[in-house]
Amino acid sequence: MKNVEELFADYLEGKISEKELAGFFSENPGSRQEFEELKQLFEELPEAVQPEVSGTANDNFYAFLEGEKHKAVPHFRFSFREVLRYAAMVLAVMGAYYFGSRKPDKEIVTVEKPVYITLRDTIKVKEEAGAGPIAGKVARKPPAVMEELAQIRKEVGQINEVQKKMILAMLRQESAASRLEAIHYSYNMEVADGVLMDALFLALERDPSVNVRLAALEAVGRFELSPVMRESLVLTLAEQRDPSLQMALMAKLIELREVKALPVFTGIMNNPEVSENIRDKAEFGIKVLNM
Amino acid sequence: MTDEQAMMAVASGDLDKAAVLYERYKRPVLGYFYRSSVNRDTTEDLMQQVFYRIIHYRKSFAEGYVFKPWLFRIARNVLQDFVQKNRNIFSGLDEKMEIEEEKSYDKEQEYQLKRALEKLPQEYREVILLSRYEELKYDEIAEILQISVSLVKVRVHRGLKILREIYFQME
Repeated sequence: MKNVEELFADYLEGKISEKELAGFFSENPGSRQEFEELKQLFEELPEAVQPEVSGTANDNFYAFLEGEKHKAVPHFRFSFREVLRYAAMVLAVMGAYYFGSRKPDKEIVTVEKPVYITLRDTIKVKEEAGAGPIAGKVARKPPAVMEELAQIRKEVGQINEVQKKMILAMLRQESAASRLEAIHYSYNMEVADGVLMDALFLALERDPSVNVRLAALEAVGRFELSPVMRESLVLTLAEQRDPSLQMALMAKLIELREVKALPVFTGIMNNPEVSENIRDKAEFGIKVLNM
Repeated sequence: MTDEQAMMAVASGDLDKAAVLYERYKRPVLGYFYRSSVNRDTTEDLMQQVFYRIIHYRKSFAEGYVFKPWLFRIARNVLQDFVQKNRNIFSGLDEKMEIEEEKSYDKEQEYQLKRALEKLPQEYREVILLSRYEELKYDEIAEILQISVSLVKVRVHRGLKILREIYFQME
């Protein structure tokens, strides 16, 4: 048999029949009056007021949505110029294969296919067993191909350097939108060097905008993080007070299985000033990290 | 399109569907903060934070989730964070709001009941608000508050009993 609390709650949700209700009151006549009073009170509660949403709030939401849509569009990892460079590189490799596979002159007839080419600028030439004067040696690529590859690498490096400088400059802009854009550009960088990572970590730790800090966290999370960088994440978590950032940092550290974060997680879990959902997340993190 | 279908689309990258959910739920979410004694100037900020979080954490919405309780769980988290941050200034209604409120209730009794609701301890008030105004089922409320369904039912019943006492004291 249900108790009066359960019965009342079920009645409000329409889950109880009149017959069941009558049966309950025949056995508990004393509770009928209270039941009726509470029912009346519940029914007399004021109707729901649905306030209007202002035009400004709507504009803000749609502007935010547009920004997020822009961020969500997959971006090419290379600029058009880089694509051209890599296309040239592929052509150069194909050229090398062509030259290497051409029927050689009689003087060097000992060299045969296949020609193995790597981007480390060497062409390993497999020689027929026991034949020729360069048997078992590694032949250098034709000088023209080597120079082309070196030039391409140099130019790709220069482009990356320009991109990096642009990102660093934008991260120093006053506008949060520019700093967000800078972090967005960092997604074009395939490999992050120390300077770029330092800048992203600085944004994560110190940027006045929570959105920039969250974006910086996502950006650094794309790269393989060294032990020092993981420790920076732990220290950042210890210092951050923004709930959304705390949640995101904890999620990242849990994903990384970073056991050094355990003391910080414990501190958060035991901090009565932290909201309940953050403490729950910390508790969950402790369980996962202790597994 | 159901809420869940729209949210799954958002989670898989179709962010335009977030606008569908925003249009469906902006007023209920605003009403939730409004009824939670948040200063009128702040309610819209909190409502926007809820939708920002929905988009930001969209990938955490998985197949089988029900959207409405998930939404109100986020709204509750936003409210808790706000209360936490503003503990010193968060003391229910401000005078300006009280005057506005008084005008919007035709009956004195309704106004007094609303005042009584605001004086109800938080753990009881939230179950009554979610049940009565957001029309959430007990199992959905249990999911939002991370408590058992039985406890939700107990809180509904006890909450109304306390509300009755507060109301009679005000009279």
